[in-house]
Amino acid sequence: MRWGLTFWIALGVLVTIVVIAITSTWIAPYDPYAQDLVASSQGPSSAHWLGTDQLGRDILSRLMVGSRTGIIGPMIVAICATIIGTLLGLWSGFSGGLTDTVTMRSIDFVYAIPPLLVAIVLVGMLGGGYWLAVAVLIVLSAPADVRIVRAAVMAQRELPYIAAARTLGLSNTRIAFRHILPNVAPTLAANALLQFVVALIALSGLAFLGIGVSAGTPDWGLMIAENRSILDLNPWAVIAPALCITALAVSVAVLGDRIFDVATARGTAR
Amino acid sequence: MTASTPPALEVEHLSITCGGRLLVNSISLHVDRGESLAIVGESGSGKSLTARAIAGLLPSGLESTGSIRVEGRAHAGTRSAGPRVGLLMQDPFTMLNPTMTAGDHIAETLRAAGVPRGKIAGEVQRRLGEVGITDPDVAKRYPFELSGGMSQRVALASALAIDPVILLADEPTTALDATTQADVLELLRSIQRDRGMSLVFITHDLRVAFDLCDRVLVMYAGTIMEKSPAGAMRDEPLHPYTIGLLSSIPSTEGYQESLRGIPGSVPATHTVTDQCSFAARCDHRIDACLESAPALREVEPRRWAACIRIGDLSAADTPIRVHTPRIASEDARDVVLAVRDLSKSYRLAGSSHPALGGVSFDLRQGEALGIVGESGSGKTTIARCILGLTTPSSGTIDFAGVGDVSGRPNAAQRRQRAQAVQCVFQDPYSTLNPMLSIGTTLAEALGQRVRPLTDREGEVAALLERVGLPASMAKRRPASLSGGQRQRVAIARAIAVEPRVLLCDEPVAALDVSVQAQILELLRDVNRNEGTSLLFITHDLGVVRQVTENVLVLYRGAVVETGPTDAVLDDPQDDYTRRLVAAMPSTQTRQEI
Repeated sequence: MRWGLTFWIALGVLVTIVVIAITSTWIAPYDPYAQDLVASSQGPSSAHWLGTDQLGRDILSRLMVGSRTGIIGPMIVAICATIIGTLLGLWSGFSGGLTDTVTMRSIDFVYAIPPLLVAIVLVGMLGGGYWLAVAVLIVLSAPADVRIVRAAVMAQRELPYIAAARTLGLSNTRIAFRHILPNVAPTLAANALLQFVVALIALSGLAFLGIGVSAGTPDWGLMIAENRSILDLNPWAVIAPALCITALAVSVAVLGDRIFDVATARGTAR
Repeated sequence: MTASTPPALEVEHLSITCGGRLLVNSISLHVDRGESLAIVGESGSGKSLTARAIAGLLPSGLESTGSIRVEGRAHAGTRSAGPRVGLLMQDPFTMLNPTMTAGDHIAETLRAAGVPRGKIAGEVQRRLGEVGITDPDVAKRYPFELSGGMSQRVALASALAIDPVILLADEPTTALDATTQADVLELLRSIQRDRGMSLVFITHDLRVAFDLCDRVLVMYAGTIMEKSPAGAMRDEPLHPYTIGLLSSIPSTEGYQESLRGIPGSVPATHTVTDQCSFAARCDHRIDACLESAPALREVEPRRWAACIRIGDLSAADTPIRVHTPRIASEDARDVVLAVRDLSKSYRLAGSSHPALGGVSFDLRQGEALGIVGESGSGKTTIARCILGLTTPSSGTIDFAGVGDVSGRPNAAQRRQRAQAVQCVFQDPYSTLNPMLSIGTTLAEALGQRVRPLTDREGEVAALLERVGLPASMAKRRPASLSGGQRQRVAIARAIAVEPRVLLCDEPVAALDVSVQAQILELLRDVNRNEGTSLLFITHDLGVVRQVTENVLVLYRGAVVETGPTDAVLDDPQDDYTRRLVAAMPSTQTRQEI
């Protein structure tokens, strides 16, 4: 199965954003924190390609540096949630009985509460901050992975190849990691990328509400919030970060989709 | 046949393609009124597609060309007006709608056929009576409340409700137990005779075809290989493929010293359109076979075959089945596995259902012991208990040198058990982990044996060679292997551990006959040459006859008969065993008498 054009476009967008995030301190035309009140709220010009905000800070530079919080937080959420969810799911699925019941009912409990609302309340109550928001999102995202992995364990533990592995006298740990995990890997990868997207939007949303990153930090979500008041003077100050969030979210979602399709097709291809 | 009465079914130059790839290559056939025709072939032969094309139910994406005429009129599918074609399919459980009662299924068809509303209830009972269901309550039951045989009868009644001119039956008895299969076949035969209906019966089993039908048509890779009256084909098959198929069937009547399969597998139709499609697997191939596709020609009156060498193939080439007396086993050999009073009950909806009620047997060093029974007899439960996949309710399972393993084992005990017993499972498609390469799977098994593993690559290659596969296969994933190849890998995985007992749970039930024989031969070879004891679970008496020395007949969780295989099958003492033996379609051919 071939990857297809959309995949390569999405990958191109993602790689570009990552490269910019890594090199932004060197390639950004201005210091993203430098204020220039004389050039406040200007539209695009040859000096400032995307104009400036109320404090005269360069929008392009802030976008470039802002990609860091846009990528790192969601990435950590996706990775940590996947690892925690996988371990819990394998443990729960293999142990069965009381362990399974307790784990699964706790998960149902987490599932029952709307994640963004909980994040807003928790982060707001605990005084806000980017890393606190990331931590809360990890806890709220992991249950999906637990369910996926546990369902896979349940479905596969009765299949002949797992029966054969048990007949070979292999330990549960080995069966879990060597035989079951590779079969859920495509689903987990796709889900991790989806979690990245959800976390990106959640973190941007929290920043927009003013309870994520601290004020003044270059961050896409925060930029939208801060520049709302100059929408008439320099609309790009709002549109550009919104476009960035959309581009990153869509490209990651497309990647997840394609990776899942291709990986599953390879498992069954002749 | 005269011009005034066209045949019930006439198919001319039917080709089926899928996106330009040819699947069925211009086949022609006819069925007279009241006649029964069997279409026989292995998986990939195109037999089911042909049936679906006749019924007008080809899956989307597939296109057919050629003409299909029922009673001389062009036929456009089961839903069209005009001459009627009934359809009976393989799986009785998915063929019926689970939300409709048995009666609803039949009533629905009757309504569509224009039976007045007031008469339907009585008509449903009459139709159920025709298929041997006399209990009036059955009409009110849902499919999940019916057994497999009962479901198939209801499906048959529903197919017959439109009073079809032709009944198309696609492997209707394959999913049924042997005794149920015999009942359903008998029913089909009598209904066909009483109604004077034509029957097209699709099957992979030549024995069933000979048993039921007037004429048999053998398909291979989308083409017709041979078309003959059933008796003539049984006694003297013409085409090398038919001969190969017949000699691949494990005989239920007597022991064969060696089982002959057909090496290789069915090619894709579109790759062999310009040559004899069977050439690659044929013993009698000459260069001319590869130059053009042989035409189907009338070799003898009423007998057609597509082979250019029919005249040259003399009687000397026809398979001669020698039933050799088997080497007598000495009972002095050590017992490697002793099972005593093994019981297992499952708890379902609060009540306890016994699956196994006190089974005892001994398996000796190098012995091949068969466990025969139908579904629900508890034979797979025995396997799962021995393998440690489930814990028995009571009883002991004693491996020589290991001790009783019926309790919950720790890691060391699990490994000890693994070195004592390994298993070959039924389904070749899920027996291997799809994400691991063949080499990885085998190396993992090698790591579990007593001897340390030193030369990973070399030993994997040696193992593959042992089961008749090329060493290059180690790099491949299961998805690219055929069913037979996968089952070979599964056997390699099992013998890699060098177990004293090899448990085989229906290892060939899902394979085509020509492949089946190869796998059985491999298992016999492991049993004879490595001295591994075989515990062979099957429902097929032919298979049990060929592979095992002693047999245990299981019925509803209890052993009803046990003894040397030949003695039990030739002269069954128990009632149930007698019924089982009588239900097996015969493979008796003229050469054997």
